[in-house]
Amino acid sequence: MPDPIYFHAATAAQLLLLLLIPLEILLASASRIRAEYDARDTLANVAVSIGSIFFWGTLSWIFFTGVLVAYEHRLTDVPFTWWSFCVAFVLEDLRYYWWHRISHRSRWFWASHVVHHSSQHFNLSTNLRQSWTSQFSGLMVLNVPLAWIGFSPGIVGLAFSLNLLYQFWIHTEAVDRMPRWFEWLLNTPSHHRVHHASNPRYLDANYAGVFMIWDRMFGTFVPEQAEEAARYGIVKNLGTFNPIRIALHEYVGIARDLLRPNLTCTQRLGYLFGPPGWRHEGAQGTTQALRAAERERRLRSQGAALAAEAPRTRDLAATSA
Amino acid sequence: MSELVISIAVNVVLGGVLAVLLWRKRAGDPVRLKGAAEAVDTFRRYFPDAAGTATLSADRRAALIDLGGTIGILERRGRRWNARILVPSELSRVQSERDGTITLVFADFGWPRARFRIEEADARAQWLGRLQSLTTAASSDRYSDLRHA
Repeated sequence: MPDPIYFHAATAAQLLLLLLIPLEILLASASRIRAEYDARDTLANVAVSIGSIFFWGTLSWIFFTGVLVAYEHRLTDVPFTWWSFCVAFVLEDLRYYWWHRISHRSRWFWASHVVHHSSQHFNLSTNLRQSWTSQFSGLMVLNVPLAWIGFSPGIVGLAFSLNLLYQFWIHTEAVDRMPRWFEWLLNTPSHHRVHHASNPRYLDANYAGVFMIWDRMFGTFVPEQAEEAARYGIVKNLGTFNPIRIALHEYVGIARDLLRPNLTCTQRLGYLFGPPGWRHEGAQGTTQALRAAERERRLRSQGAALAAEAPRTRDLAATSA
Repeated sequence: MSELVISIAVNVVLGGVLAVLLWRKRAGDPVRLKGAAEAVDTFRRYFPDAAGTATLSADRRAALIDLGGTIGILERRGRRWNARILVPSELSRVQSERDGTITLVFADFGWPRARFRIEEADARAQWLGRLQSLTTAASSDRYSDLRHA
């Protein structure tokens, strides 16, 4: 079991990282770094954060109960050593990857996670905009396997905290690119800008927490393109800074869709667990559909450009002949 | 429990510090639409296939866009634009205020309302008529062919 000092250190580090937010504002206002803040957006982030901490604090027993019960039925005993912690940290990151991917691909889980993506800004304060409902969306079950293998709840909790701690610095536009090896191996601001973008080509990509290898392995890696700047936010952006609306809007949307008359059971399940944007009349709001439409548009514009180019090429050929 | 209270207290203090800082450093959002063409161009960032004519609001931070069969809206929120194509079932009601503002009340918990103050009375009356006809339109969902980008 790790010494409690590690947990206190992790909490203290989290609180210290918050100081980077005013620092980013000050440096950006002095034009020393690239960062854009909007007062109402930032204060909404803080308000959402307070709600998130409250619900996390009061409902964290769900997380710990699951982990403790699994640990009681563990397969083996893994001691707390540097190597076992390294293994736990990598496995925890794999757990995070799948948690994150499911959170984006199924509307019930997206309803919880969308909160974090609902800002149209991308700066260090975006870290604060976290879900209020992560404890009861059901995905906490993904924390169970590590404890069941035999990693103590302390190791699981510490790996979980450090994973989130790492992700603080990647929410920024101030850092352009890290060295190539770093960009290949680890999650960086560049990769995470892509993840927070709503441009069709960037949607549902770069789910990694710390190690980018998971996205490369599972085919969800998309690099940031210089010619297409990230447009942050969600496909249907919010028109409010009210923290309650930010935290719960997708649940209200789900309820409204489920209460539509004349839907079959399968259609209702589609609205609940289908991909975000799915509709029973035709899934034109899903990532797949948006990407297909974007591809079609690109092909059309390329076709138009080629058609415009053709007479000019013919003229040139005639002249040279 | 004490960690929970400390974390919330730290966030409250942080909120205060950021509010003061942003208030002192804030230059305001100077962005205003220069004209109808810019409104349509901005709208096309979100719906690239859109083509139409825009009517700007008096503060030049919002626009109603006639897309032919459908209506698009563009509204400045903080330092970003929000764009939507109106779907009849998502529009709860349309209100006309005395100062010439048309308020759209949406059935969307994430975007409850949008406001457009249109100074010219004829244009306002025309838009009001079109928008009100949407709320009385068939309650069945009708989706535009224009795809979001």
